[in-house]
Amino acid sequence: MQSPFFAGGAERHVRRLTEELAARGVEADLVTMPLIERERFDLVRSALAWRALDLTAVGGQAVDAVIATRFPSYAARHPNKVVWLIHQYRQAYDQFGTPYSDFTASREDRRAREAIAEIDRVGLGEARRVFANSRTVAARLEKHNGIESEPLYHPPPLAGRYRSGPAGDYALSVGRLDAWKRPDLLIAALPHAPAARVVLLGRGPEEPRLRRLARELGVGDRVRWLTEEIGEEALLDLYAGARVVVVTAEGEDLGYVPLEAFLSGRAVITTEDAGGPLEFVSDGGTGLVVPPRPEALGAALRIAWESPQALAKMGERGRERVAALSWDRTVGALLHAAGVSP
Amino acid sequence: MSVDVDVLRGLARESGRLLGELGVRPDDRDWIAAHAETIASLAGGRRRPARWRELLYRAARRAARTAR
Repeated sequence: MQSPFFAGGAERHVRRLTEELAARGVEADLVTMPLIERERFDLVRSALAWRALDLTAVGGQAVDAVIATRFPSYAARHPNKVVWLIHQYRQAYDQFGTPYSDFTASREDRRAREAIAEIDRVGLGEARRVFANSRTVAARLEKHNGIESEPLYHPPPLAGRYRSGPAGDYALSVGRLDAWKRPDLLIAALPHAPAARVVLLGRGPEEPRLRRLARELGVGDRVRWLTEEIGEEALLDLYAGARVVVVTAEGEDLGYVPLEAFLSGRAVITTEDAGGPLEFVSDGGTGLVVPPRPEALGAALRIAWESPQALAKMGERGRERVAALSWDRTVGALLHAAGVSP
Repeated sequence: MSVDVDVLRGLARESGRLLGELGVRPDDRDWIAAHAETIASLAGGRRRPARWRELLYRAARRAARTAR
């Protein structure tokens, strides 16, 4: 499943998985279809398109297994289907009733949510094995659909290339400037941490509002905006030179940022409602976990500026925490579940 | 009745069955009508009389019912 003209983390993720399979001698290819939602029925229509796709054999050649990752690609038919769930259609589940979902109580929306649950029941239920990309995603699947899955982690995109450097004078935030990523929380924390400076890497619809907020709070001179694409080396440098990495998003599925921070030897400040990041960030262990309030985040930033040695130790512990993540293990688990040997 | 509409009716039946499998119910009339319209569009630039759409609608709806 992909969105035309958009290559987000999920798109990069499945491309990388395909490469990692190929690198281990598996003849693997990527099958994508766009999910374009103009009306609710498009969600069902898209699932139907996948359901109509029988991938048992292609061009007269048997396909040993299918690995599906996102709604509704797991509706595709194959007798040996393994699901590695990145996330469900969250607007119909945990995000329903929050500002992040536009589903209402109308009959059509209710029916669409019911249909999504049925698509999940059918598509996931017939899979030989269901993995989730984090414990958070697995817990949601259990809670909303009663389907058990096993968390299966994987390394972030530039694994093997992250590096450490001397701690710099900025807190780094990486992610789209979307409302649910809550970059406004970080900006609003700055008045509570007078020495702190911030680098915001990302772009998105919230940018004008955020710039206005920074001006209104009088912290505009302490925020550096990086809203253009930067290269991989520049990203590695940013992580390596940060004082601390901040994750403000609410309810992340997994989140690469903490993993990238730890592999760069950096501690992470995040919030109690962060979701996936909390599977790696522990308060006082590998970072600081605070309530999602500006003053609490500001207090954590003050610690980052006042106790750099404690922070360095947290970053080191973070590195140890994620050191074992490897594609060997991840691909091995997927292939084993599918009963496929390279 | 042309062969074309028979082919389309078979498609409506098959895809209607899949829709039923995916949770669409016979009383989801708007969705089934939208689906029938999509199938009717496969007739290309030719005219798609209302009776075709009705035929495909009924085929899809019946299939969705039996799939459940």
